[in-house]
Amino acid sequence: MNWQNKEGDIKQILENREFAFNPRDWEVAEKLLLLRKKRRKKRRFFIVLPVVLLMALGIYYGTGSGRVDNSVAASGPEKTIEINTEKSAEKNIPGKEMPGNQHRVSHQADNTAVPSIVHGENKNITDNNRKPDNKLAEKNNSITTKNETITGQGDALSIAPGKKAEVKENNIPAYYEEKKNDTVEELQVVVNPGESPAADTKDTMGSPAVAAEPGPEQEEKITKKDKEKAEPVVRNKIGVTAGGNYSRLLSVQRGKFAVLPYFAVNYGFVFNSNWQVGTGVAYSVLNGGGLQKRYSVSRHTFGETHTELTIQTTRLHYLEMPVTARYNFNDKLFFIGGINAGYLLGIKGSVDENSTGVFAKEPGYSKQASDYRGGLKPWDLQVQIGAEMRYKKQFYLGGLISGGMLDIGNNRYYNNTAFERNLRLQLYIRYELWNF
Amino acid sequence: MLNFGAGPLRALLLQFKRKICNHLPMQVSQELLKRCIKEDMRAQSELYRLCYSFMLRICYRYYSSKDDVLTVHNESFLKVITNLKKYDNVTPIEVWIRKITVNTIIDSFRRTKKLKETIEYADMSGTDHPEDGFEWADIELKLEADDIYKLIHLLPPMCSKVFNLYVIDGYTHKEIGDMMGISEGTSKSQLFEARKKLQAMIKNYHTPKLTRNELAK
Repeated sequence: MNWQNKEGDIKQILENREFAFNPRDWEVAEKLLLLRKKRRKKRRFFIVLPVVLLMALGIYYGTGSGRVDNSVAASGPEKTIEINTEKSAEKNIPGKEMPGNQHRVSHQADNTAVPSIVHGENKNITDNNRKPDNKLAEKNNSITTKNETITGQGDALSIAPGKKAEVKENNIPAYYEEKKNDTVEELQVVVNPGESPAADTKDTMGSPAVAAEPGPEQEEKITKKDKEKAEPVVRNKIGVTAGGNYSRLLSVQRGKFAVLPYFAVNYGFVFNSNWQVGTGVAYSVLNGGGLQKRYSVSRHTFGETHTELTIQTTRLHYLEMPVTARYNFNDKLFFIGGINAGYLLGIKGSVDENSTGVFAKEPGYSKQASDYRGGLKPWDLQVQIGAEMRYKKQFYLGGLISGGMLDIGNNRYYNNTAFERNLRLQLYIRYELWNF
Repeated sequence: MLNFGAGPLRALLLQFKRKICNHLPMQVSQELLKRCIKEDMRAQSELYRLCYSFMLRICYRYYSSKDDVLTVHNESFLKVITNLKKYDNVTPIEVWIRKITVNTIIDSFRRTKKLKETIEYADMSGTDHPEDGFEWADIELKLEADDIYKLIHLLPPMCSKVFNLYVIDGYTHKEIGDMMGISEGTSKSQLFEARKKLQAMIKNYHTPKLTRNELAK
C-alpha cells in the first residue's frame, strides 16, 4: 500500500468523525458574539460622538449663539461708567448725582460721546455732552471734552470750553487701552503708578474692570487678557492647501520616492487659543511604483505568438479625509497630529508587452494604462504628524509625515505576503480664506 | 482562486461547481447566511450547530487540550460571523469556513511563537524529494479517529502541523512555508519526519506495554 492510499484512509477516518453538539459550547460562543456587538456599539458611539460634538459646536459658534461680544456696543441706550474713589465728590459737584464713593459719568453712546478717564492725581474725562457747570472733586483733576476742558485742584474743579478732545496725562504711563467700534472712538484709563486708584472700578458698558494698584506684572496680565478679549473671536477657519507628496510604497523592493501633487480644502474649529481640530477633503496622488504582475499569453494563429505582459502601478489617486488636532506652540509655530483616511479613486500604471512569434510587437512595447483596481484595496488609513509655520497673516507653510497602517496591496492579486503601505512626506502651503 | 469571467459560461460553471459541492455534508442555505449577516441570534445559533462538528474536527487535529480546541473553535466561529459579508457565495461554504478555521489556528500559533523553537531537523541525506522517497509499510489501519488524533498530537509540534496542513487540509509546501514562516524545504523535511514517526507509532499502537512517551520515540 503506498503512502497516498494510507493517508487517504487516515483522512477519511478523520473526516468521518462526528462530534455531538454541546449546547454549553454555544453558550460560550453566544457570550462572545454579544460582547462583540457591545464593542461595536461602543466603537460606533465613540466615532459618532466627536463628529456630533464638532458639528454642534460649529453650529453653536457659527450661528453666533455662543459668541461673547467683548467690544463695546456703540449704539443703544445710555451707558454708565461707575468709578469708586476714596474721596467723596458728592458735595463738590453741584447738580451731579454721586451716591457714596462713586463717580458716575453718564453719556449718550453716539459718535461724539467718547469718555477718556484719568484716575489719581490727574484725571481727564472727555465727553461731548458734559455741561460747563460740572465740577469734580479731585486734586489736579482735568477733564477735557471736545467743547470744554474741566480742570481741578484739590476739591475744586473748573470747566472751560475746548476745541477738541484731548487727554492730559501729565507724564503718567497708560496701561490700559481698548479699541472700540467706530461709534466709540477711544477709551483710556490712566492710573498714576504711585497712587492708589479706585478700589472698585466697574464699567457697566462691558469694558473690563480696572484692578486696584496694578504693578508691572499685573499690568502685563491685564493688557494681554484684555487684548485677547478685544480681538474678535474666531472659531471657524476655512482654507485651501496645495503642495506635494514625496511618497513611496513600503515593502516594495523597486519602490522609489516621487514628488506628486496634493490639494485640499480644510476646515478648522478653534477650541481655545492653543487647540484646534481640523478636517477636510483632499485629493492626493501617491507613488505606487513597484507593484507589478506578470501574465503570459500564448496565441495560436498562423503559428504561435507568445506574449508576456507586465502590469505595473505608477500613480495612486486618493480622495482623503484627514482629521487632525493642532497645537499652537506660539504665534508662529504649530504642531499637528492626526489620522488620514484615504479612498482609492483610481490607479495609473503601465503595461509592458514583450512578445515573440508571428504577431509579435516590437520588443519592449509599453503603454499607459489605468484602473487595475483588483491589485489594490480601496481604503488606506494613515497616521500623520507634522508642523506648520505661519509665514504671513493667513499664509502657512507646513510639513507632514504620514505612515500607512493598512496593507493596501491585494496579496492574492500579486501573489505575495508583503505588507505594502504608503509612506510620505507632505510639504504644503495653506491659505486661510475665511475666519469667522 | 478560479475566475470564471462573465456570461452564460460563468453561470454554467457555477452551477456545475455547486453541484459538485452538494455532496458535502454541511447544508447552509443562503437565507440562513443572510439572517446571520443581519445578526439574527437564532440564525447564528443554527449556523453554529451546523458548523460545530465540522470545525471541531479541524481544531482537534491541531490541539490536544480540549480548552484550546474550544477557544480556537469559538474564535474561528466569531471570524466566520464577522466576515460573512465578504463571503462571495461562489466558493463552497465548507471550504471557506475550513480556510478561516485553519488561518485562525495558524494565527494563534504565530502569536504564541512556540513552533520555531520546536523544529526538529530530520536527516535528509539521500532523499532529494522526501515525499517521493517515503513509502508506507504494509500495515493494517485499525484505528479510530480519536486514536489518530492522539498519534498526531504525539508528533513533534511542527511535524504535526505540517502533516495536518499538507495531508489533511491539502496545502502545498510553498503555502505551508508562507503560513508558518519556514522554508519549503523545511516543510518537506518535517512532513517526511512526520510520516516516518506516524508509521512507527501506528505499528506499535496496539502493543500494550508501550507507554505514551515510548510510542512517541
